[in-house]
Amino acid sequence: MPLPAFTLHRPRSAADAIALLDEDCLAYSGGTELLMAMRMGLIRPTALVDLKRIDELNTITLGADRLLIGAGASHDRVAGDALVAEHAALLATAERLVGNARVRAQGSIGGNICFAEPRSDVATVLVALDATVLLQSASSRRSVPATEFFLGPYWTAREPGELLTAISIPLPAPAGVYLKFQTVERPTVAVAAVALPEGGYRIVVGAVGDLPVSADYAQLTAVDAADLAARVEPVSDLTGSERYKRHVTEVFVRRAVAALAGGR
Amino acid sequence: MSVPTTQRPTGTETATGRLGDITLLPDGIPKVTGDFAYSSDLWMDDMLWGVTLRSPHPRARVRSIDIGAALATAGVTAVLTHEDVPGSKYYGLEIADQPVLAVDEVRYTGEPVAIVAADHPETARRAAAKIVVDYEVLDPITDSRAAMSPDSPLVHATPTQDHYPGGGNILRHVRIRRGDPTLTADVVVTGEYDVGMQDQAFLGPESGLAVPAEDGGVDLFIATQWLHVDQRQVAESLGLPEDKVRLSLAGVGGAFGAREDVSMQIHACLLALRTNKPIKMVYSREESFYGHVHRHPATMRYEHGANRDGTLVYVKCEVVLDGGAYASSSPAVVSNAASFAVGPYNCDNVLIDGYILYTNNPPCGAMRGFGAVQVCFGHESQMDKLAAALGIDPVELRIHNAMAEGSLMPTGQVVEGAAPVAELLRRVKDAPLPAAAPTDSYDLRALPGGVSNTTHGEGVRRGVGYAVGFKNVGYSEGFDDFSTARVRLEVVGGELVATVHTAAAEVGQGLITVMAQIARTELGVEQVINQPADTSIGTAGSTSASRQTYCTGGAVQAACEAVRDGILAMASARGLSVEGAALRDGKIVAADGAAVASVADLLGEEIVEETREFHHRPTEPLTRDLGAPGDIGQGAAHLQFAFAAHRVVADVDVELGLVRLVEVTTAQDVGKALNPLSVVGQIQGGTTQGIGLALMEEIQVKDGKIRNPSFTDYLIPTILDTPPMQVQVLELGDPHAPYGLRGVGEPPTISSTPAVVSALRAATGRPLTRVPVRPEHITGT
Repeated sequence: MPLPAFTLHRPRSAADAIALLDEDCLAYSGGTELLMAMRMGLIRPTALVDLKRIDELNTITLGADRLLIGAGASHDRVAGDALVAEHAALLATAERLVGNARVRAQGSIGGNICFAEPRSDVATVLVALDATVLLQSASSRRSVPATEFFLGPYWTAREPGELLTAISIPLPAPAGVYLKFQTVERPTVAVAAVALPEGGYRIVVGAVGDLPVSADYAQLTAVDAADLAARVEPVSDLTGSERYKRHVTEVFVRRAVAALAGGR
Repeated sequence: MSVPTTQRPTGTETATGRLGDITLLPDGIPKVTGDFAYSSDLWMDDMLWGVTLRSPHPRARVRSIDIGAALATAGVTAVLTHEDVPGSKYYGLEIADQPVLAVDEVRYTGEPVAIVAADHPETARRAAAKIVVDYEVLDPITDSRAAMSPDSPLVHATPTQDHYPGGGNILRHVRIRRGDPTLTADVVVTGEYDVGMQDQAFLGPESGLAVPAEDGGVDLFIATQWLHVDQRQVAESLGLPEDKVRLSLAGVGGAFGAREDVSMQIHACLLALRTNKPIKMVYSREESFYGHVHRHPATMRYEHGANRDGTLVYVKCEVVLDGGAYASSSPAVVSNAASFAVGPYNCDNVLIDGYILYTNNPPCGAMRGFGAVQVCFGHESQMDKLAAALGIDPVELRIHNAMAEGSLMPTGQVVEGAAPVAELLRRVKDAPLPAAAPTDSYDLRALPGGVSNTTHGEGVRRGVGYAVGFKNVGYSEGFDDFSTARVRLEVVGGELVATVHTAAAEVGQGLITVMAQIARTELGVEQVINQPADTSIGTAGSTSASRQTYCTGGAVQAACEAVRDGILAMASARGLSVEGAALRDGKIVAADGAAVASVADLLGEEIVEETREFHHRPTEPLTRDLGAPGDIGQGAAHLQFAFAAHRVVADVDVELGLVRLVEVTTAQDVGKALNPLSVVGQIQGGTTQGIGLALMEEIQVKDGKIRNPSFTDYLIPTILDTPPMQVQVLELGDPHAPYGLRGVGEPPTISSTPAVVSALRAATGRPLTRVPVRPEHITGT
């Protein structure tokens, strides 16, 4: 399908970008998902706001108790950033495994979560890390926990006039493992298993259902893989039947727990 | 005539090397570096772009087509429908049943309905979207077995099946009966097996450039497998004599059978003649999935009866192939499937029914292995099952029944020349096995799931599997698929130069290298130029059926011999003694090895040029079922057989159903390796294509629509999916073939698929009766 006609804006500041955004005018960075959806006729904006020239959206900075990642940072940038590696290694791990080399070079972390494709590597890990996202409109600024940001497939808490400017990860961020099963460009099942800084463990099962499913446990031995597999809501598609995906979820939770226990 | 510009290499550059030498393909490096000029790179400054409007429905009546809004679009020069086809409105390789543009009905999703020319491809696409087609949507016929029923609605209201018995949607039914298949046996195993729809997945999409000529004709630059069969079909649909439709081969980005049928050839020429401008057409990847035929999906039912010692008593097989909406080469594919249904085994009592059906699924046709691939998965699965039932080693069971020189095919044909089935199997079995999977160190790349980090050894089991297969080289059933070559020898700038001209399509297999090697060897000349392939010379036949080195190699050899005879006659006329002489290193060399004369000196300003056709030994059509008792489906239908065996070692994560191939060992008889490097390349590539069918490659069709028309969702093996291969090349020599060679390209694709599945069965204990094997088949969930 041809890309329909649209107007392209190229602001230099976040404020200028925000002033342009509305229901028919969408923010665009790497375009790895948005342009595909436009080609398929699923989204029909009349204008796009290109964020790639806005430097303030591309910074990664360390605060007193949080790591701030600019929404425009590419997957490659996040994966290779020294601050991310030091303070949120799990996110770097997941970012290294996103899509393919072209998607990682072009796609942005903010675009990934704003598009809210359920099979997102990033979303699963952000939920595990208790991340929040910063949303800014012409008149307000708010911070939304990742668990409340994702509302469903391709549906987030972001309002049409809001720009996602940064992702905020509280420090110290938990350490853990990220395992995923993937035969095409997006994961079929993704599991993040982390040891929480305050004690206890968290298992997040993403990609397989509409939203990441998260559960905290006092002990790793308390993780019930079968229970988590029963709680996800997979959809049969080219990558496997619903039954198979539940089966794989259970296996992956078991393996993630074993990997976390084994210190891998 | 104007010629499109290609400033990049076209792969016709001269290579070096004589027959038997390891010779680099001249197109290889440019293809890897991106410098090669593919057909999609063709360009003329004043050209227009053509695009195709396709049916969104698998079956619908076309009530009306309104092109008004499209034609009124700025930049649009032409919008054509079937009404604008001046000649035959239908084309086809064997049966002209496929509309150039839909006439009154569409029969598959993606069928071309209208074509548009504009000054920019985007303009053309947007204009195409404005064409209003009023469809009356009908229920598609998508189940090939259901389509066999006399009660099924018809895909073609007027069935076009030719002289084959059948009826309704049955395009061809091949019956083979020999011996007494009603016998009883000590051990009987039955099985049902399915093969999914594989795509050739060539990387260079359908593309070409049609240039209108001053004589009212057209010059078409095109990536194809057979220039002359395209020329015939294009000329018939344009209503032009063939000499006004001239084709030149453009850079081909892979073929594997998918370029045997016409895709955009007629469309581009129609638009070029209508607009009087050069027309470029290039399919997108998605369009390419709709724009060519695929490998036939198959459902097969087998029954094998054997004595306690493993000797096959009888084999019964019913294979049903889904031909899709149009005939393409389906009648020949089903004949092959029936011919090779038993595998390379001796069996005196056979009952084989091969059916090929019209449905509203995507049309299927030629793909590497051509009918032998599907049945090889069936017969090899059966041999494993029979071995288990008998308690006999599966390789020993195969060897016990192995065909050899002098064996009879199910068709009664005597297998002439080497048929080293037992030796190929022994070689792959006796090759050392790879080391066991490490249990203490983790190299994720070596584990199922690879760098996706899915296992660190949990759930991994190893299996080893074997398979052997064979097929015909060249066209069968009495078809005279000859080739033509012209060879010229002259002195250019003081140097002896041979020029070889054929219409044979180089599609990446290495023919241009082989042709030059032949000329270099036969004429004792260093400089060989391959003239670009076009229709100014007679047909070379198709680059398919593993036949091009045999047939065009034979034609080049014959033309070289004629040139050599001409040189020797010149020498003789000048009083030189040339009895038994040959040409070597630029000289005429007498039988005793003494140099008689320099060829360059002898030639001076003269040119010796000869054109020869090579016709292989005739084959026979299969006898038809005339209702009389006795054996049927009999005859020496095939020219030559080519054999290969595979052993596959696989690690399987049985919990997740993921597979990592550890190693493939293969042995193949190639008769004579003319270029050992490209022989190994063909075997590696063919094996990998078979691995793809075993593990990942399937066009998923639901309700007549392709669900995965992209390389995001249709996966082909990458280098990470491809294991190390031990390739053993046998050169047993076929006395009937040029240089003793045997076709190479297809056998590796045939037996690699069942060998992979055999290894998976050994690792998992699951029956795995369908390819591609999906993870959920392995986990059983």
